Amino acid sequence: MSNNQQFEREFEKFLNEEDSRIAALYRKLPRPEPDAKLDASVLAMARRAAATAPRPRAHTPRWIPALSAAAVVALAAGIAFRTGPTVWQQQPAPAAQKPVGENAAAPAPAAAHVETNQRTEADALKDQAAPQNAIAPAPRSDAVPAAPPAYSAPAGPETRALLRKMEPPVRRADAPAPQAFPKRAAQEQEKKPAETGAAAGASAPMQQSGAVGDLDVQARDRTRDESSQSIPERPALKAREEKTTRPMPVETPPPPPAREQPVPQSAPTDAAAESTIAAPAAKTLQRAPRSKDPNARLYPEHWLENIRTMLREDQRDEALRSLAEFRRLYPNYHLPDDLRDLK
Amino acid sequence: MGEAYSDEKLMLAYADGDLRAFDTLYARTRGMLYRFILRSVPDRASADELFQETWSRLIASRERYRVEAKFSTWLLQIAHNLIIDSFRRARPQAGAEETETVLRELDVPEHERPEQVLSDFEQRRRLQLALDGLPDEQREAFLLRVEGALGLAEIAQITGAGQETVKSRLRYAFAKIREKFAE
Repeated sequence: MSNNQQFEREFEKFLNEEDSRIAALYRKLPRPEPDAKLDASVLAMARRAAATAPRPRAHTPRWIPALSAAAVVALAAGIAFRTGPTVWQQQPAPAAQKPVGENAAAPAPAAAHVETNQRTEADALKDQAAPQNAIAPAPRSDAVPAAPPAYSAPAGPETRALLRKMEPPVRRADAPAPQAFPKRAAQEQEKKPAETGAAAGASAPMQQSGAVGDLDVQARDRTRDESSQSIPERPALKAREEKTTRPMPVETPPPPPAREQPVPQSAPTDAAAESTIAAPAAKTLQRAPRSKDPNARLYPEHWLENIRTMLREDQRDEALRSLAEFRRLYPNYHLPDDLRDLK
Repeated sequence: MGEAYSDEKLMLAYADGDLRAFDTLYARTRGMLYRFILRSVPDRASADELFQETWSRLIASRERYRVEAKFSTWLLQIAHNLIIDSFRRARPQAGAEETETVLRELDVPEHERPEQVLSDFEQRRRLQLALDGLPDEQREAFLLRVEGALGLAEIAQITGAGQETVKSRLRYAFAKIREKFAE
Protein backbone atom coordinates (compact mmCIF):
# COMPACT_ATOMS: atom_id res chain seq x y z
CA MET A 1 0.00 0.00 0.00
CA SER A 2 1.51 3.28 -1.02
CA ASN A 3 1.84 6.22 1.29
CA ASN A 4 -0.82 8.11 -0.61
CA GLN A 5 -3.35 5.35 -0.22
CA GLN A 6 -2.56 5.06 3.46
CA PHE A 7 -2.92 8.81 3.88
CA GLU A 8 -6.28 8.82 2.10
CA ARG A 9 -7.52 5.99 4.29
CA GLU A 10 -6.45 7.75 7.48
CA PHE A 11 -7.93 11.01 6.31
CA GLU A 12 -11.25 9.34 5.51
CA LYS A 13 -11.26 7.85 9.00
CA PHE A 14 -10.54 11.28 10.41
CA LEU A 15 -13.42 12.78 8.44
CA ASN A 16 -15.87 10.01 9.29
CA GLU A 17 -15.28 10.33 13.00
CA GLU A 18 -13.65 6.96 13.12
CA ASP A 19 -10.67 6.44 15.35
CA SER A 20 -7.72 7.91 13.53
CA ARG A 21 -4.28 8.16 14.97
CA ILE A 22 -4.24 11.95 14.94
CA ALA A 23 -7.65 12.22 16.62
CA ALA A 24 -6.62 9.75 19.26
CA LEU A 25 -3.47 11.71 19.90
CA TYR A 26 -5.41 14.93 20.11
CA ARG A 27 -7.65 13.40 22.73
CA LYS A 28 -4.54 12.61 24.71
CA LEU A 29 -3.71 16.28 24.91
CA PRO A 30 -4.42 17.93 28.22
CA ARG A 31 -8.04 18.94 28.48
CA PRO A 32 -7.91 22.34 30.11
CA GLU A 33 -11.13 23.88 31.36
CA PRO A 34 -12.05 27.33 32.53
CA ASP A 35 -11.22 28.00 36.14
CA ALA A 36 -13.83 28.43 38.84
CA LYS A 37 -13.53 32.19 38.77
CA LEU A 38 -14.35 32.25 35.09
CA ASP A 39 -17.27 29.89 35.61
CA ALA A 40 -18.66 32.08 38.37
CA SER A 41 -18.32 35.13 36.21
CA VAL A 42 -20.24 33.58 33.34
CA LEU A 43 -22.97 32.16 35.56
CA ALA A 44 -23.39 35.50 37.32
CA MET A 45 -23.68 37.18 33.95
CA ALA A 46 -26.40 34.75 32.93
CA ARG A 47 -28.33 35.35 36.15
CA ARG A 48 -28.07 39.11 35.83
CA ALA A 49 -29.38 38.96 32.30
CA ALA A 50 -32.27 36.72 33.29
CA ALA A 51 -33.12 38.99 36.22
CA THR A 52 -33.03 42.25 34.30
CA ALA A 53 -35.09 41.06 31.37
CA PRO A 54 -37.61 38.57 32.65
CA ARG A 55 -40.02 38.92 29.80
CA PRO A 56 -41.74 35.83 28.48
CA ARG A 57 -40.59 34.59 25.16
CA ALA A 58 -42.96 35.40 22.34
CA HIS A 59 -43.33 32.37 20.15
CA THR A 60 -44.82 34.14 17.17
CA PRO A 61 -45.05 31.86 14.19
CA ARG A 62 -43.33 33.21 11.14
CA TRP A 63 -46.24 32.62 8.84
CA ILE A 64 -48.45 35.16 10.61
CA PRO A 65 -46.75 38.30 9.18
CA ALA A 66 -46.66 36.76 5.72
CA LEU A 67 -50.32 35.84 5.92
CA SER A 68 -51.19 39.32 7.15
CA ALA A 69 -49.35 40.93 4.26
CA ALA A 70 -51.10 38.68 1.76
CA ALA A 71 -54.48 39.48 3.30
CA VAL A 72 -53.82 43.23 3.10
CA VAL A 73 -52.81 42.94 -0.54
CA ALA A 74 -55.91 40.91 -1.35
CA LEU A 75 -58.14 43.39 0.48
CA ALA A 76 -56.59 46.34 -1.35
CA ALA A 77 -57.02 44.59 -4.68
CA GLY A 78 -60.64 43.84 -3.86
CA ILE A 79 -61.38 47.43 -2.93
CA ALA A 80 -59.66 48.67 -6.05
CA PHE A 81 -61.64 46.21 -8.15
CA ARG A 82 -64.94 47.29 -6.62
CA THR A 83 -64.39 51.02 -6.54
CA GLY A 84 -61.91 51.47 -9.34
CA PRO A 85 -64.27 51.79 -12.34
CA THR A 86 -66.44 54.34 -10.56
CA VAL A 87 -63.49 56.47 -9.68
CA TRP A 88 -62.10 56.23 -13.16
CA GLN A 89 -65.37 57.33 -14.66
CA GLN A 90 -65.41 60.35 -12.40
CA GLN A 91 -61.92 61.41 -13.29
CA PRO A 92 -61.78 64.02 -16.06
CA ALA A 93 -60.30 62.91 -19.32
CA PRO A 94 -57.78 65.07 -21.14
CA ALA A 95 -59.43 68.16 -22.58
CA ALA A 96 -58.78 67.29 -26.20
CA GLN A 97 -60.59 63.98 -25.84
CA LYS A 98 -63.49 65.14 -23.75
CA PRO A 99 -66.85 64.54 -25.30
CA VAL A 100 -69.51 67.17 -24.87
CA GLY A 101 -71.29 65.08 -22.31
CA GLU A 102 -68.35 65.11 -20.00
CA ASN A 103 -67.95 68.83 -20.43
CA ALA A 104 -71.55 69.18 -19.52
CA ALA A 105 -70.79 67.61 -16.19
CA ALA A 106 -68.67 70.63 -15.28
CA PRO A 107 -71.48 73.17 -14.61
CA ALA A 108 -72.62 71.49 -11.44
CA PRO A 109 -69.47 72.21 -9.47
CA ALA A 110 -69.10 75.46 -11.35
CA ALA A 111 -72.45 76.62 -10.09
CA ALA A 112 -71.41 75.86 -6.57
CA HIS A 113 -68.30 77.88 -7.09
CA VAL A 114 -70.28 80.82 -8.38
CA GLU A 115 -72.33 80.76 -5.25
CA THR A 116 -69.21 80.98 -3.13
CA ASN A 117 -67.65 83.61 -5.40
CA GLN A 118 -64.74 81.40 -6.28
CA ARG A 119 -63.53 81.49 -9.81
CA THR A 120 -62.57 78.19 -11.32
CA GLU A 121 -61.76 76.73 -14.65
CA ALA A 122 -65.44 76.25 -15.25
CA ASP A 123 -65.96 79.96 -14.73
CA ALA A 124 -63.32 80.67 -17.26
CA LEU A 125 -65.21 78.50 -19.69
CA LYS A 126 -68.31 80.52 -18.99
CA ASP A 127 -66.40 83.67 -19.74
CA GLN A 128 -65.71 82.21 -23.07
CA ALA A 129 -69.28 81.18 -23.51
CA ALA A 130 -70.75 84.66 -23.21
CA PRO A 131 -69.19 86.27 -26.28
CA GLN A 132 -69.75 83.08 -28.14
CA ASN A 133 -73.41 83.55 -27.53
CA ALA A 134 -73.13 86.98 -28.99
CA ILE A 135 -72.56 85.35 -32.33
CA ALA A 136 -74.55 82.20 -32.07
CA PRO A 137 -77.02 83.04 -29.39
CA ALA A 138 -78.96 79.93 -28.78
CA PRO A 139 -81.13 80.52 -25.76
CA ARG A 140 -79.44 77.93 -23.64
CA SER A 141 -75.95 77.85 -25.05
CA ASP A 142 -74.64 80.12 -22.34
CA ALA A 143 -75.48 77.55 -19.75
CA VAL A 144 -73.34 74.94 -21.41
CA PRO A 145 -69.63 75.40 -21.11
CA ALA A 146 -67.96 75.59 -24.45
CA ALA A 147 -66.21 72.48 -25.56
CA PRO A 148 -62.48 72.70 -26.13
CA PRO A 149 -61.61 74.07 -29.56
CA ALA A 150 -60.00 70.81 -30.56
CA TYR A 151 -63.27 69.00 -30.23
CA SER A 152 -65.29 68.63 -33.40
CA ALA A 153 -67.19 65.38 -33.02
CA PRO A 154 -70.96 65.65 -32.95
CA ALA A 155 -72.60 65.04 -29.67
CA GLY A 156 -74.51 61.83 -29.26
CA PRO A 157 -78.03 61.51 -27.91
CA GLU A 158 -76.85 60.38 -24.49
CA THR A 159 -74.45 63.23 -24.26
CA ARG A 160 -77.11 65.73 -25.22
CA ALA A 161 -79.48 64.27 -22.69
CA LEU A 162 -76.86 64.64 -20.04
CA LEU A 163 -76.20 68.14 -21.28
CA ARG A 164 -79.82 69.09 -20.88
CA LYS A 165 -79.91 67.49 -17.47
CA MET A 166 -77.00 69.55 -16.28
CA GLU A 167 -78.21 72.85 -17.65
CA PRO A 168 -80.95 74.04 -15.28
CA PRO A 169 -78.94 74.53 -12.10
CA VAL A 170 -76.29 76.44 -13.96
CA ARG A 171 -78.81 78.59 -15.72
CA ARG A 172 -80.45 79.45 -12.45
CA ALA A 173 -77.18 80.39 -10.90
CA ASP A 174 -75.55 82.18 -13.78
CA ALA A 175 -78.23 83.56 -16.02
CA PRO A 176 -80.72 85.67 -14.18
CA ALA A 177 -82.08 87.20 -17.40
CA PRO A 178 -82.33 84.56 -20.06
CA GLN A 179 -84.63 86.69 -22.20
CA ALA A 180 -81.72 88.99 -23.00
CA PHE A 181 -80.09 86.44 -25.25
CA PRO A 182 -82.57 86.60 -28.11
CA LYS A 183 -82.13 90.32 -28.06
CA ARG A 184 -78.41 89.98 -28.39
CA ALA A 185 -78.87 87.43 -31.09
CA ALA A 186 -80.86 89.90 -33.08
CA GLN A 187 -78.10 92.44 -32.72
CA GLU A 188 -75.55 89.96 -33.91
CA GLN A 189 -77.68 89.04 -36.87
CA GLU A 190 -77.64 92.65 -37.90
CA LYS A 191 -73.89 92.81 -37.51
CA LYS A 192 -73.19 89.65 -39.41
CA PRO A 193 -75.56 89.24 -42.27
CA ALA A 194 -73.36 86.61 -43.84
CA GLU A 195 -73.85 84.33 -40.93
CA THR A 196 -77.50 84.88 -40.72
CA GLY A 197 -78.44 81.59 -42.27
CA ALA A 198 -76.49 79.50 -39.85
CA ALA A 199 -76.92 81.67 -36.81
CA ALA A 200 -80.58 82.37 -37.32
CA GLY A 201 -81.49 78.77 -37.01
CA ALA A 202 -79.55 78.51 -33.85
CA SER A 203 -80.57 81.86 -32.48
CA ALA A 204 -84.27 81.40 -32.88
CA PRO A 205 -85.87 80.87 -29.54
CA MET A 206 -86.24 77.20 -29.00
CA GLN A 207 -89.50 76.14 -27.57
CA GLN A 208 -89.16 72.44 -28.15
CA SER A 209 -87.05 71.12 -25.39
CA GLY A 210 -85.99 68.09 -27.40
CA ALA A 211 -84.49 70.18 -30.12
CA VAL A 212 -82.80 72.61 -27.87
CA GLY A 213 -79.81 70.48 -27.09
CA ASP A 214 -79.25 69.37 -30.68
CA LEU A 215 -79.35 72.77 -32.17
CA ASP A 216 -77.51 74.21 -29.32
CA VAL A 217 -74.59 71.91 -29.77
CA GLN A 218 -74.70 72.12 -33.53
CA ALA A 219 -74.79 75.87 -33.46
CA ARG A 220 -71.89 75.97 -31.09
CA ASP A 221 -69.91 73.57 -33.21
CA ARG A 222 -70.74 75.47 -36.34
CA THR A 223 -69.90 78.84 -34.96
CA ARG A 224 -66.84 77.82 -33.08
CA ASP A 225 -64.58 78.17 -36.07
CA GLU A 226 -66.36 81.22 -37.35
CA SER A 227 -66.30 82.95 -34.05
CA SER A 228 -62.75 82.09 -33.23
CA GLN A 229 -61.76 85.55 -34.35
CA SER A 230 -64.19 87.30 -32.11
CA ILE A 231 -64.08 84.99 -29.15
CA PRO A 232 -61.92 86.59 -26.55
CA GLU A 233 -59.23 84.30 -25.43
CA ARG A 234 -59.75 82.60 -22.14
CA PRO A 235 -58.22 84.65 -19.35
CA ALA A 236 -55.77 81.96 -18.47
CA LEU A 237 -54.60 81.60 -22.04
CA LYS A 238 -54.50 85.30 -22.55
CA ALA A 239 -52.45 85.80 -19.44
CA ARG A 240 -50.09 83.09 -20.58
CA GLU A 241 -49.74 84.70 -23.98
CA GLU A 242 -49.11 88.10 -22.51
CA LYS A 243 -46.58 86.62 -20.20
CA THR A 244 -44.64 85.10 -23.05
CA THR A 245 -44.83 88.05 -25.42
CA ARG A 246 -44.71 91.14 -23.28
CA PRO A 247 -41.29 90.99 -21.65
CA MET A 248 -39.55 90.08 -24.85
CA PRO A 249 -37.81 93.09 -26.36
CA VAL A 250 -38.50 91.78 -29.84
CA GLU A 251 -40.90 93.50 -32.13
CA THR A 252 -43.45 90.79 -32.14
CA PRO A 253 -46.59 92.23 -33.61
CA PRO A 254 -49.78 91.71 -31.69
CA PRO A 255 -52.66 89.95 -33.34
CA PRO A 256 -53.65 91.76 -36.49
CA PRO A 257 -56.25 94.49 -36.06
CA ALA A 258 -58.66 92.50 -38.16
CA ARG A 259 -58.91 89.97 -35.38
CA GLU A 260 -59.71 92.59 -32.83
CA GLN A 261 -62.25 94.37 -34.92
CA PRO A 262 -65.21 92.08 -34.50
CA VAL A 263 -65.08 92.16 -30.73
CA PRO A 264 -68.44 93.57 -29.97
CA GLN A 265 -68.45 96.76 -28.03
CA SER A 266 -71.75 95.76 -26.66
CA ALA A 267 -70.36 92.62 -25.15
CA PRO A 268 -69.39 94.23 -21.85
CA THR A 269 -72.71 95.91 -21.51
CA ASP A 270 -74.60 92.81 -22.46
CA ALA A 271 -72.52 90.78 -20.16
CA ALA A 272 -73.00 93.21 -17.35
CA ALA A 273 -76.71 93.12 -17.89
CA GLU A 274 -76.98 89.41 -18.29
CA SER A 275 -74.37 87.81 -16.20
CA THR A 276 -71.65 88.78 -13.86
CA ILE A 277 -69.51 86.04 -15.23
CA ALA A 278 -68.97 87.68 -18.59
CA ALA A 279 -67.74 90.89 -17.04
CA PRO A 280 -64.08 89.97 -16.57
CA ALA A 281 -63.74 88.96 -20.19
CA ALA A 282 -65.16 92.24 -21.39
CA LYS A 283 -62.91 94.09 -19.02
CA THR A 284 -59.93 92.39 -20.48
CA LEU A 285 -60.97 93.41 -23.95
CA GLN A 286 -61.34 97.05 -23.01
CA ARG A 287 -57.80 97.16 -21.75
CA ALA A 288 -56.31 96.17 -25.09
CA PRO A 289 -55.14 99.19 -27.12
CA ARG A 290 -56.82 99.48 -30.44
CA SER A 291 -55.58 101.72 -33.19
CA LYS A 292 -55.49 101.84 -36.94
CA ASP A 293 -51.99 103.19 -36.82
CA PRO A 294 -49.66 100.32 -37.70
CA ASN A 295 -47.15 101.71 -35.22
CA ALA A 296 -49.57 100.88 -32.45
CA ARG A 297 -48.30 97.33 -32.71
CA LEU A 298 -44.87 98.44 -31.63
CA TYR A 299 -43.51 99.18 -28.23
CA PRO A 300 -43.86 102.87 -27.36
CA GLU A 301 -40.13 103.55 -27.76
CA HIS A 302 -40.09 102.07 -31.23
CA TRP A 303 -43.23 103.91 -32.14
CA LEU A 304 -41.64 107.21 -31.12
CA GLU A 305 -38.56 106.35 -33.08
CA ASN A 306 -40.70 105.86 -36.15
CA ILE A 307 -42.31 109.25 -35.56
CA ARG A 308 -38.87 110.81 -35.49
CA THR A 309 -38.02 109.05 -38.73
CA MET A 310 -41.15 110.50 -40.31
CA LEU A 311 -40.13 113.94 -39.18
CA ARG A 312 -36.70 113.48 -40.66
CA GLU A 313 -38.23 112.36 -43.94
CA ASP A 314 -40.50 115.42 -44.08
CA GLN A 315 -43.64 113.46 -43.37
CA ARG A 316 -44.74 115.93 -40.74
CA ASP A 317 -48.48 115.45 -41.13
CA GLU A 318 -48.13 111.72 -40.82
CA ALA A 319 -45.86 112.11 -37.83
CA LEU A 320 -48.28 114.46 -36.08
CA ARG A 321 -51.15 112.13 -36.73
CA SER A 322 -49.20 109.21 -35.37
CA LEU A 323 -48.10 111.23 -32.35
CA ALA A 324 -51.69 112.19 -31.63
CA GLU A 325 -52.63 108.55 -31.79
CA PHE A 326 -49.76 107.74 -29.48
CA ARG A 327 -50.95 110.34 -26.98
CA ARG A 328 -54.43 108.91 -27.15
CA LEU A 329 -53.30 105.39 -26.43
CA TYR A 330 -50.61 106.27 -23.94
CA PRO A 331 -51.88 109.38 -22.17
CA ASN A 332 -49.58 108.93 -19.23
CA TYR A 333 -46.45 108.27 -21.23
CA HIS A 334 -43.67 110.78 -20.57
CA LEU A 335 -42.76 112.00 -24.04
CA PRO A 336 -39.19 112.99 -24.79
CA ASP A 337 -38.42 116.69 -25.13
CA ASP A 338 -38.15 116.68 -28.90
CA LEU A 339 -41.66 115.31 -29.29
CA ARG A 340 -43.42 116.75 -26.26
CA ASP A 341 -44.07 120.17 -27.78
CA LEU A 342 -44.48 119.00 -31.31
CA LYS A 343 -47.76 120.23 -32.80
CA MET B 1 -32.42 19.31 33.97
CA GLY B 2 -30.72 16.08 33.11
CA GLU B 3 -29.18 14.54 30.09
CA ALA B 4 -32.60 13.93 28.57
CA TYR B 5 -32.77 17.45 27.34
CA SER B 6 -30.91 18.44 24.24
CA ASP B 7 -28.68 21.49 24.16
CA GLU B 8 -31.21 23.24 21.96
CA LYS B 9 -34.10 22.67 24.39
CA LEU B 10 -31.95 23.87 27.26
CA MET B 11 -31.12 27.03 25.38
CA LEU B 12 -34.79 27.68 24.64
CA ALA B 13 -35.60 27.08 28.30
CA TYR B 14 -32.96 29.58 29.36
CA ALA B 15 -34.31 32.09 26.89
CA ASP B 16 -37.62 31.70 28.71
CA GLY B 17 -35.88 32.50 31.98
CA ASP B 18 -34.96 29.05 33.28
CA LEU B 19 -31.58 29.51 34.97
CA ARG B 20 -31.16 25.83 35.77
CA ALA B 21 -31.27 25.12 32.07
CA PHE B 22 -28.36 27.49 31.57
CA ASP B 23 -26.38 25.86 34.33
CA THR B 24 -26.78 22.47 32.69
CA LEU B 25 -25.97 23.81 29.26
CA TYR B 26 -22.90 25.59 30.53
CA ALA B 27 -21.63 22.52 32.30
CA ARG B 28 -21.96 20.49 29.12
CA THR B 29 -20.21 22.85 26.76
CA ARG B 30 -17.74 24.86 28.79
CA GLY B 31 -14.78 22.48 28.34
CA MET B 32 -15.22 22.03 24.62
CA LEU B 33 -15.58 25.74 24.06
CA TYR B 34 -12.69 26.64 26.27
CA ARG B 35 -10.31 24.21 24.60
CA PHE B 36 -11.35 25.32 21.16
CA ILE B 37 -10.60 28.90 22.11
CA LEU B 38 -7.44 28.13 24.03
CA ARG B 39 -5.94 26.22 21.09
CA SER B 40 -6.88 28.91 18.68
CA VAL B 41 -5.35 31.86 20.49
CA PRO B 42 -1.81 32.35 21.75
CA ASP B 43 -2.32 32.72 25.49
CA ARG B 44 -4.59 31.76 28.31
CA ALA B 45 -5.53 35.31 29.19
CA SER B 46 -6.88 35.86 25.71
CA ALA B 47 -8.70 32.55 25.89
CA ASP B 48 -10.34 33.53 29.16
CA GLU B 49 -11.38 36.85 27.74
CA LEU B 50 -12.78 35.32 24.57
CA PHE B 51 -14.50 32.57 26.51
CA GLN B 52 -16.29 35.11 28.68
CA GLU B 53 -17.12 37.29 25.70
CA THR B 54 -18.57 34.30 23.85
CA TRP B 55 -20.99 33.55 26.66
CA SER B 56 -21.80 37.21 27.00
CA ARG B 57 -22.80 37.36 23.34
CA LEU B 58 -24.85 34.19 23.71
CA ILE B 59 -26.68 35.54 26.75
CA ALA B 60 -27.37 38.85 25.04
CA SER B 61 -28.88 37.19 22.01
CA ARG B 62 -30.76 34.43 23.80
CA GLU B 63 -34.16 35.79 22.79
CA ARG B 64 -33.26 35.61 19.13
CA TYR B 65 -32.14 32.01 19.32
CA ARG B 66 -33.86 29.69 16.86
CA VAL B 67 -33.31 25.96 16.57
CA GLU B 68 -31.93 26.03 13.06
CA ALA B 69 -28.71 24.16 13.83
CA LYS B 70 -26.99 22.38 16.65
CA PHE B 71 -26.45 24.54 19.70
CA SER B 72 -22.74 23.74 19.66
CA THR B 73 -22.53 25.02 16.08
CA TRP B 74 -24.05 28.32 17.13
CA LEU B 75 -21.80 28.57 20.16
CA LEU B 76 -18.67 27.79 18.19
CA GLN B 77 -19.70 30.24 15.50
CA ILE B 78 -19.84 33.03 18.05
CA ALA B 79 -16.43 31.99 19.33
CA HIS B 80 -15.07 31.73 15.80
CA ASN B 81 -16.14 35.29 15.01
CA LEU B 82 -14.54 36.60 18.17
CA ILE B 83 -11.33 34.70 17.48
CA ILE B 84 -11.16 36.12 13.96
CA ASP B 85 -11.63 39.60 15.38
CA SER B 86 -8.88 39.02 17.91
CA PHE B 87 -6.56 37.80 15.16
CA ARG B 88 -7.18 40.97 13.23
CA ARG B 89 -6.49 43.08 16.29
CA ALA B 90 -3.35 41.29 17.44
CA ARG B 91 -1.16 40.18 14.61
CA PRO B 92 1.44 38.71 14.43
CA GLN B 93 0.57 35.54 16.22
CA ALA B 94 2.49 34.05 19.08
CA GLY B 95 5.62 32.16 18.24
CA ALA B 96 6.84 28.75 19.26
CA GLU B 97 8.37 30.03 22.49
CA GLU B 98 5.10 31.36 23.70
CA THR B 99 3.48 28.07 22.80
CA GLU B 100 6.00 26.23 24.89
CA THR B 101 5.09 28.45 27.80
CA VAL B 102 1.43 27.68 27.37
CA LEU B 103 2.14 23.98 27.15
CA ARG B 104 4.07 24.08 30.37
CA GLU B 105 1.13 25.74 32.04
CA LEU B 106 -1.33 23.16 30.87
CA ASP B 107 -2.63 20.74 33.42
CA VAL B 108 -1.25 17.24 33.27
CA PRO B 109 -3.64 14.46 34.25
CA GLU B 110 -2.57 12.97 37.54
CA HIS B 111 -3.48 9.42 36.65
CA GLU B 112 -0.84 9.26 33.97
CA ARG B 113 1.97 6.92 34.83
CA PRO B 114 5.42 8.54 35.39
CA GLU B 115 7.14 6.49 32.70
CA GLN B 116 4.62 7.60 30.14
CA VAL B 117 4.85 11.25 31.00
CA LEU B 118 7.89 12.18 29.00
CA SER B 119 6.76 10.28 25.95
CA ASP B 120 3.25 11.66 26.06
CA PHE B 121 4.54 15.10 26.77
CA GLU B 122 6.73 14.89 23.69
CA GLN B 123 3.79 13.76 21.60
CA ARG B 124 1.56 16.49 22.91
CA ARG B 125 4.31 18.98 22.34
CA ARG B 126 4.71 17.88 18.76
CA LEU B 127 0.99 18.01 18.19
CA GLN B 128 0.74 21.43 19.76
CA LEU B 129 3.64 22.69 17.66
CA ALA B 130 2.05 21.21 14.57
CA LEU B 131 -1.22 22.94 15.39
CA ASP B 132 0.54 26.23 15.99
CA GLY B 133 2.33 25.93 12.69
CA LEU B 134 -0.87 25.59 10.74
CA PRO B 135 -2.42 28.52 8.95
CA ASP B 136 -5.37 29.92 10.90
CA GLU B 137 -8.05 28.52 8.61
CA GLN B 138 -6.58 25.01 8.65
CA ARG B 139 -6.05 24.99 12.40
CA GLU B 140 -9.58 26.22 13.02
CA ALA B 141 -11.08 23.60 10.74
CA PHE B 142 -9.06 20.92 12.48
CA LEU B 143 -10.11 22.08 15.96
CA LEU B 144 -13.75 22.29 14.96
CA ARG B 145 -13.49 18.77 13.64
CA VAL B 146 -11.71 17.14 16.57
CA GLU B 147 -12.77 19.35 19.46
CA GLY B 148 -16.26 20.38 18.37
CA ALA B 149 -16.93 17.01 16.67
CA LEU B 150 -18.48 18.87 13.79
CA GLY B 151 -18.94 17.58 10.26
CA LEU B 152 -17.93 19.28 7.04
CA ALA B 153 -21.29 21.02 6.61
CA GLU B 154 -21.26 22.47 10.12
CA ILE B 155 -17.67 23.64 9.81
CA ALA B 156 -18.54 25.24 6.51
CA GLN B 157 -21.49 26.98 8.15
CA ILE B 158 -19.38 28.36 10.96
CA THR B 159 -16.45 29.50 8.87
CA GLY B 160 -18.49 30.70 5.92
CA ALA B 161 -16.48 28.61 3.47
CA GLY B 162 -17.66 25.94 1.06
CA GLN B 163 -17.63 22.30 2.06
CA GLU B 164 -14.96 21.46 -0.49
CA THR B 165 -12.83 24.27 0.82
CA VAL B 166 -13.24 22.98 4.35
CA LYS B 167 -12.34 19.49 3.23
CA SER B 168 -9.25 20.83 1.50
CA ARG B 169 -8.20 22.73 4.63
CA LEU B 170 -8.67 19.64 6.73
CA ARG B 171 -6.64 17.58 4.28
CA TYR B 172 -3.72 20.03 4.42
CA ALA B 173 -3.92 20.24 8.23
CA PHE B 174 -4.07 16.50 8.57
CA ALA B 175 -1.11 16.05 6.24
CA LYS B 176 1.05 18.58 8.08
CA ILE B 177 0.31 17.13 11.53
CA ARG B 178 1.00 13.62 10.25
CA GLU B 179 4.24 14.80 8.72
CA LYS B 180 5.26 16.33 12.04
CA PHE B 181 4.88 12.98 13.75
CA ALA B 182 6.84 11.21 11.04
CA GLU B 183 9.93 13.33 11.72
